[in-house]
Amino acid sequence: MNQSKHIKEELVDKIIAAAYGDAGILDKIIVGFQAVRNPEVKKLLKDYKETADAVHLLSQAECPDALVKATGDRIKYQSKYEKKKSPVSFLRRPVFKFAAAALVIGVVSFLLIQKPKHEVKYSKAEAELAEKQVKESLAIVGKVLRKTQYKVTDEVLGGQVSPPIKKSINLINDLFKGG
Amino acid sequence: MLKSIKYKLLIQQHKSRIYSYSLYMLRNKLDADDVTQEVMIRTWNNIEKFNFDSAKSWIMKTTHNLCLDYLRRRKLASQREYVIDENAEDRLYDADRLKDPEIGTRREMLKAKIHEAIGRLPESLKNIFVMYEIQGLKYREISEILGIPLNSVKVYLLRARKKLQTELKEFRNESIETY
Repeated sequence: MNQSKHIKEELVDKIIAAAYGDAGILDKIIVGFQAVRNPEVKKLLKDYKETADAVHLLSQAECPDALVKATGDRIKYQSKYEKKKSPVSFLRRPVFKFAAAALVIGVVSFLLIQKPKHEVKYSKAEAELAEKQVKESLAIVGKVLRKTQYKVTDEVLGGQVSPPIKKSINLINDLFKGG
Repeated sequence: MLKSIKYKLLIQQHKSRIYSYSLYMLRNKLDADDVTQEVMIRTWNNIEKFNFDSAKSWIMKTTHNLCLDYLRRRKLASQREYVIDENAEDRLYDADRLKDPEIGTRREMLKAKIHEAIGRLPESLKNIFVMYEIQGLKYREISEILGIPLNSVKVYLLRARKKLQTELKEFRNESIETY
């Protein structure tokens, strides 16, 4: 500042502190003494004091009651909603999650370890009947296979496939001979 | 029940401090409303984490951090769009009122100018100045809230007072000419 050009910075700081009421007793005495002797110090002190007084007159802005009420309502609603949303919210706790996981693992392990131990016993008649049915089934399959084999070897290969091939080969041979 | 009582007591005690600080820092009523509401909600949500002694510091720290968030967001937004000065009308009104010799005294004018000058202080100086001079917080409390050393608080406060005086210098020169 221009006013403080000729005043030491240290003294300016003390003047400011004195003006704002922060200075210690000793600093106040020094500033007061300097103010009496030096009109520049006196002017600076007066200016700062005027500002400080005006600053101290500034009051805090009052928070509107409507804002406090609105926030209170919002908090109330939020708390209510949270309670309503999860009546079993305690189940979300890690300890409950761990217990649930352990329970599932336990049940699965138990089911895997406990294999069913029941043996089925058949009567002799049932065994004979089953054997007979198997034999009949195999006989039917065998019959079908034999029929197929006959059809392939005798009818297809012998009667319908071989003659045209034989005819083609003879034709080629004739052509070779002729050429 | 206890939580509710504790919340009401705390809000009753600190609501104006929160609102006033937000208003000084953000210079916008709507943003100050938002910050105040958010601080109150956070106070409710975290009420079990602090006691009455540490509440003031916690609340002011939260308010300060939220204000910084708002200022940062505003800075980003202003890079993208034109700023609408919501306080322009108020300032016009104030100017008219201050021109009226019946209402406006020199002190009132100075108060208004100081109000304006505080708003123009850099954020790092403004927050400390407002906390100390207007909110009446102690150096130790400010140091705790802002997380800076005690001596830095004193240095910043001194700088803020000097800066404010410089800002008011023009006004003083004008008023000397008028009176």
